[in-house]
Amino acid sequence: MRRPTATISLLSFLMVLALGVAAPRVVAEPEAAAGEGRELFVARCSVCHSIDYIEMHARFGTRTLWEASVTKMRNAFKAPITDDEARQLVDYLQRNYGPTRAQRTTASSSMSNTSVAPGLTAGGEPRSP
Amino acid sequence: MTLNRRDVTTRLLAGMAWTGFAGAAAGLPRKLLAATQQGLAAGREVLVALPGKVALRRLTERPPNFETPLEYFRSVLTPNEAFFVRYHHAVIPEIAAEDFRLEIGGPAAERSLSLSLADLRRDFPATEIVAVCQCSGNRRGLFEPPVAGLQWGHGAMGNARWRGVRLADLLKRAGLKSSAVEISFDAADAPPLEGTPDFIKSLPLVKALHPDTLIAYEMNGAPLPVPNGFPLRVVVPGWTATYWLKHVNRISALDASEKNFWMTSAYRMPRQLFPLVERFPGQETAERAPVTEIAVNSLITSMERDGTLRAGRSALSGIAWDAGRGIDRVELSFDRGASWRRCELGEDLGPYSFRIWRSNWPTLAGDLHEVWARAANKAGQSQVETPIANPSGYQHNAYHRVRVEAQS
Repeated sequence: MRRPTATISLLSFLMVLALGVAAPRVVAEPEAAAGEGRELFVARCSVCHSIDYIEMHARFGTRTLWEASVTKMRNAFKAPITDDEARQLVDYLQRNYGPTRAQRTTASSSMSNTSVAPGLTAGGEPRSP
Repeated sequence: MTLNRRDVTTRLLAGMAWTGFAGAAAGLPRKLLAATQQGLAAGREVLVALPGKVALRRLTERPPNFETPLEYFRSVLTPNEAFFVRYHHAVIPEIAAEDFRLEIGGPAAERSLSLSLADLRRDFPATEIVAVCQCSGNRRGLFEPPVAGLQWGHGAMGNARWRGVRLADLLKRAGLKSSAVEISFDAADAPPLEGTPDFIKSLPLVKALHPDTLIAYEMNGAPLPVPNGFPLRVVVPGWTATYWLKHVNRISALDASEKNFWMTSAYRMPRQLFPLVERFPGQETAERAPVTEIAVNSLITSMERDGTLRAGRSALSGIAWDAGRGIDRVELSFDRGASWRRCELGEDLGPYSFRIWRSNWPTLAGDLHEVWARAANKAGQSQVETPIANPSGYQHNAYHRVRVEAQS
């Protein structure tokens, strides 16, 4: 729908900046991984969506996937990201949300490693032939 | 899934979490913001109860995307409080029923209408239909190799009895010019950024005027829950949920095809991959076609809470559905597809509904490792053994295959 004004965008952007960086523990949204690039990531990406969008792709989060994702966010969804920022974001995503990290997470969890996907029957379901 | 109960923790999560900061800034309903959330976290599985909802599997917090756990598919109608939630954009405004207006017009309409909810109920005949609402990307998370996008399991769908008015009746009141080719829908939700394409979808005239296509104000005898579209949503029986806009507040008759991102780039597939009967010719190109009708599919629902299926432990049953041709048969295989046994079908609530099926556990020689389920419809369409790979991971309708645990 046509929204009243740009005020909403600016306000939400500022609130994300203010709260996203030092989010209180009671907030359900997962937090971005610590490390170089995190502040830019929170500023540019959290405006529109929570971090779980990123986490769910970590098991196959190659550099190619993250480049395609950032490109889509810029071109299709008009995220205000410069070329230089895009490179920094892809670096951050690759460092923190790649398959290596996902495998570590899986190995340390109690989830069956036969899962082909998170989901209600994931572990009970064999892989496609 | 093997769920280790020692690792299950209960978390109390304070409000503001639902659609997060952007939603808060844009005036999310206060009762949603103030609500306390209860979450169950087990490994990477997070179950969260949105206000007015039971705990659903959370894919993303903002915008909110939550899928329905398996147990709710054991009944033919999916309870409203367990119905899946899917949003593209994080700004979800509070809508007061008494102030709400549905605007109908557009370049190919003879006149413009502005209708209150009371007008809709008073001036147009009410009609009901049972229909499956299923996300185009349901089961995307099961594709191998993986496909980017929301990693849905089986629960991005639900079946409900929808009550509302026929879209055709509204369009008749507005009057369609002979130049009309599509009907488009816009809704009250919006992206946080001004430049992000608003979620607008269109239907071809033939589907918009179909007597089963509704603007619904109730599901399962109650007003639509907020996250399922209060106060109005489009109901397009047989077609995937991308066309079922929630919070719909503007209907436009168009004299040219809608060309926004959500029609020309998103929700499209290679043209010849799927045997679509109902198509959207005005939106097809030489290579690609919009996702339209729901592929014939089935689901085994006898797994226990932890996801395991134990032979003989409980009834073997599930659901099957398609785009409205009607389920002809559901078959099970206990020998990895070498032979198939036909199931008994339950009550028929109409061609667009889930159909319950049941089977006894057979007595088999040798070890039982897997149960496979497949459905076919009355038009001869059947589920596929291997999911049909496509760039966006739509229309996963491979046989449902569940590993059987040893008796314990």
